Amino acid sequence: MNVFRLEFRSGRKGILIWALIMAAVIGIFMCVFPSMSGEAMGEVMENALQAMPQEMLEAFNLTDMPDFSRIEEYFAYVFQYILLASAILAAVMGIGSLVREESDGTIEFLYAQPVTRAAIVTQKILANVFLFLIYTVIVALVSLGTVYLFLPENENFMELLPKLGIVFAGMLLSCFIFMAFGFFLSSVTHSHKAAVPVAVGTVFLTYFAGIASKLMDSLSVLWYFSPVHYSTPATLVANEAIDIHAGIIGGCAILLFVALSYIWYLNKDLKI
Amino acid sequence: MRAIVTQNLTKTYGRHRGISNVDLEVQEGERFGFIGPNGAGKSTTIKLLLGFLFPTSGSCRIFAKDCVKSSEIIKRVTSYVPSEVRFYRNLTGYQMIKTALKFHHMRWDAVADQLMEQFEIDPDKKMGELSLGNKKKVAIAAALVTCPALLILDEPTSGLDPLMQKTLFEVLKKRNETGLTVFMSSHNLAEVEHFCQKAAFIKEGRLIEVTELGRARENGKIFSVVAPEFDLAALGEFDGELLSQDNDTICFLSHGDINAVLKTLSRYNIQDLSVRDFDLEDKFLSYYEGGDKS
Repeated sequence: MNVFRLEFRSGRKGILIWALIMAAVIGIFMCVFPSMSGEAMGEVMENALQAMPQEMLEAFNLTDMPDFSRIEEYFAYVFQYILLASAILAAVMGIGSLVREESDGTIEFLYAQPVTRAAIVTQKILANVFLFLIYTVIVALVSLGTVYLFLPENENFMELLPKLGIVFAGMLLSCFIFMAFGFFLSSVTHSHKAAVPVAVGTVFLTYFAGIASKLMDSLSVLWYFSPVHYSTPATLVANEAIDIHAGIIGGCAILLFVALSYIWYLNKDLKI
Repeated sequence: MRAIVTQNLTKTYGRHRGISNVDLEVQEGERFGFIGPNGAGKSTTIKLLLGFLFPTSGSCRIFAKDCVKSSEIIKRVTSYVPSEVRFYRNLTGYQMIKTALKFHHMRWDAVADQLMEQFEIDPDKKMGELSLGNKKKVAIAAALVTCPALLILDEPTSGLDPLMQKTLFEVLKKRNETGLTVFMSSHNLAEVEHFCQKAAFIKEGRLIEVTELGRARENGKIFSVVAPEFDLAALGEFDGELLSQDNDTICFLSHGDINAVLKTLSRYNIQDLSVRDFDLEDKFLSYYEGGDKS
């Protein structure tokens, strides 16, 4: 597992920074919850939401008029931005994983060692999945901590846990789709310089496709192309389950992209 | 046993030329030089041997194993020192060498300590902080620490100071005495001539000659003569080959008896004369400037 170790070592610092920033964002947003949950603020928010055009409500996942006095609905609203950022992180990790060795030139050391190309792909995927799980655990712990801290007296924390748990499960599904797509791109390209713009572009392009699918019935098929919409936190909190279609399509997409990554990487010339 | 064999090895990059029908044989225990100007195909050949690239056609084998199908097995006994060392910037020299050992399921031992000492490697400095030469030293130590049977070096002395170059060749010679096969590409013809037993010349992707370097001196002598009245027709008396003529200075190559040359020259008023062996550099220039073989 030497490739795993090298990959984990090179990625751990970045993951901690991302996790701390996301934790801080969650913390700041959740600090605002007590003032949002007041009756007066509730009325203000309701009026504001009713005045917003439908397109904007769709864009910000506010069509169901969330009740911000309920902590799980407020958290779900906040967490959709964390989900978007996490999807970008997952895509960046995937895109950078294989190709970085080529563009940094470190492949000249790595592939001069007794290791197969398949082992390089496998261990890099495992290392990035492991790093992302660490990130998710940190974000989840901070999320649960802040929800517990600001929990209204009439709410039961243990009853909220399944709802919050499904939000993190959904995040993993969406993010692993982007990460798998990133692995595929990483196996195809020869430079990781475009990793961040491509990752951001991919996430937002698919996200906007998801919004378009809600705005126009004729474009409803685009929903399937938006992994972020598979796990919209507000929907997951309301349904307490991941959409079965999203789960199947997402799982298949992950398998397909990972398989393509192996096929491509095992047959490509490594440019140095 | 043959350490390296390539047969009709060809690699093309779309319209760009890579290498074409390269047939190469390196015997086990040999010190083999691979010579050619920039873009001749040296690095492409090395990368094909190491499995970084896939051949367009032909085959290459190391210790009888196919370089495409058995790359991992080959690398258990083959080490590589790249021309430009770009290792993991956040690892120290010590960690790089230890990582190489881990890949070979080996532990840090006396050999590792000795290499650290011989190549004066700072164990605590990260690769990103090292100079070109110091990176090269880490790469050489990381390649040698696993005690390979074949060592492939691409421009091994680039960035090394003369003292460290001397150390490198001493270490390589000592390892070679115990069976290490060395395959090195280099622009430095003097070091190839000094260290290698055999050399292959590659030009525009094609192998043009493999020569035994011990016989370089049998290839003739180069005379540089300042003689205003010298008649070029006299070169025919000893099969001399005119290399250059600049005013009164004539430069020619003679493969024949040196006494016959001196006898002819003695008929003229010689103002200056120098004689030297036809060396690898002359051979290189004759191939790459003149076009064909001498």
